[in-house]
Amino acid sequence: MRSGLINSVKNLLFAFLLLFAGCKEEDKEILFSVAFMTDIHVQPERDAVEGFTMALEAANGLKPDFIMTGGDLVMDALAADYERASSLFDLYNQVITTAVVPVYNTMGNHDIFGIEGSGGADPSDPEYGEKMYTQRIGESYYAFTHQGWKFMVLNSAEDNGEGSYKGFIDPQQIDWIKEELMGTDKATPLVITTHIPFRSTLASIYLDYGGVDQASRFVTNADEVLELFSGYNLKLVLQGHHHFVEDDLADGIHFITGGAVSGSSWWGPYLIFEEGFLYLTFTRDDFSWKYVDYGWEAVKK
Amino acid sequence: MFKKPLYYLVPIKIIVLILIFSDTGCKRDKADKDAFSMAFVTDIHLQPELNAVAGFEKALDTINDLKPDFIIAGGDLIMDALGAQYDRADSLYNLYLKTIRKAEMPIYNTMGNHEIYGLYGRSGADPEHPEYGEKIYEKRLGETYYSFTHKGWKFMILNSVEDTGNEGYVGLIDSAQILWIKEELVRTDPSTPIVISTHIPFISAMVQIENGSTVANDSSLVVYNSKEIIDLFKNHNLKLVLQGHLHIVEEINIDGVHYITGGAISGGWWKGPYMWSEEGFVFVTFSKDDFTWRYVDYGWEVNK
Repeated sequence: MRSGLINSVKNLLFAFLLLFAGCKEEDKEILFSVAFMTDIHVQPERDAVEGFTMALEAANGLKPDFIMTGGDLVMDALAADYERASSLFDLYNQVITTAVVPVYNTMGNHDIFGIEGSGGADPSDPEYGEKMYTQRIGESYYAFTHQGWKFMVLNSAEDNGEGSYKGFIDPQQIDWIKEELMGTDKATPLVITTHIPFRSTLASIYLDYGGVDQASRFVTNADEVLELFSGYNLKLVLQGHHHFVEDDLADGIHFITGGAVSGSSWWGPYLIFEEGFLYLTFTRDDFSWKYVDYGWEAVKK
Repeated sequence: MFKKPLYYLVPIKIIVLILIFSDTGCKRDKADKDAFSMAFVTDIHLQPELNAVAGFEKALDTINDLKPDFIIAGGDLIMDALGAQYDRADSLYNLYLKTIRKAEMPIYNTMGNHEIYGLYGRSGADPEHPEYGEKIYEKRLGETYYSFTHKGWKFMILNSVEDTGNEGYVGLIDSAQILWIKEELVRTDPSTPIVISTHIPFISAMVQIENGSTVANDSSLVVYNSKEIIDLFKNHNLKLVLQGHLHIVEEINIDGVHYITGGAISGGWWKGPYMWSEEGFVFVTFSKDDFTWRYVDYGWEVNK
């Protein structure tokens, strides 16, 4: 009887070993999920409000812990006059209330007020440039932590001083990233969001490089920024701007370009990519993703 | 001696069985009769120098232990025929053919730039030589592009290296191959999963990684008409493009197609790891319509 009991205990131990030692099941448990919604380009035209609302409802249905946006929230403040730019931010802030979970925003180039000049914006306007974004939406770069993962939202669009923008992480942010990392455990998994990509290969096969200002297409000092994360557990860089869907994995870091909620800025799918958003699920130290086509059909007019 | 049945143990045993067979345990690959595996070994750069033969043999030993159904070699099998004199090129091909006999499974070869004999003037090669250019490869190893099918998957091996005619090469799938691909696809069911092997990559972020985010690719680093080739597969089930040439391990996932650059058996040309990539190979496990992969560091250490 004693040996029977011992055997049964052995059996049980064996079973638990199979369960837990062999497969590290706890590492595969999904701790939380995120919807990454980028290049929304909300506007009163092209049924964009209806489309964005539909996307938010689809995201709500997936019950993510929170939504991150990837920039180009509105279309467009860059070259708009004050009334248009102001009303677009109001519109965005109104539509985003459809989300039933917290929303963490990232600033895009189209969210910068007036620097392309044609709208006649006054540089002395208290909301000129990025100030409209910071007043209406919040900080243009910041960090937060969720379930052991650290998320760093970056401001990647820089006024180039020549009436447009370029992809750049400015020196203040570089200092801020250094400080943030000093207070971050090296094992903490990190996620960056940046509107303008650090890395993407699709432009090279879908678009003609000739004559295009690459500085507006990529973060020009991406290498410098990535170097700061050397020795840290950077897992994922979520990117917008290109409206492509692409996942580049090199040296343990995924650079994922998250398509566009607006597809081709509400004129239909962009190239082969439908209107959609990324849905990501996170485990203790890993993640997986899929692109969700929320079923929008662009108005034909 | 009478032994009382240990009835109280029955529920425990049932629990054990449930635990073992239930889904709460880690998901085991279901026994799939269509499942198979392969090793993608690229950028071997075999040569009598730098202990390369011992290194490649170690890689093949590791592969033999993993028992894949077959091996695909991704090109740059030898170092080097491009700028070599005939005797050297000849002996390297012989060395390669001798060394791969160690493999206990079939090998499907892909041609790389370093296999082309005499393209560089320093080789002193005569363009009239019967083994000049790609001919040495065709004579020794076979066709430079071909296809085969294995357990429902179609594998297409491409020749991605084009002689520029002025002592150089570019990444290109030539018009003869484009015609051949079109013919092959006419005969291929649109649902058949397809794998391509190409020495020069279709897509890579290598240049951005190495030289900065705004730097464009060079035509000797990637196949410059790759978009045209990818578009040929638009209505087919292209799943995987296995790539060599760059010696880095990288995976790019676009529109359901995985572009995997498979590191290098030789690492940094037998002088140690290259960037973040150890000496290694890609081991791919296939199911009916999907695959998983990992990079296997076979443990080579360069003698300093």
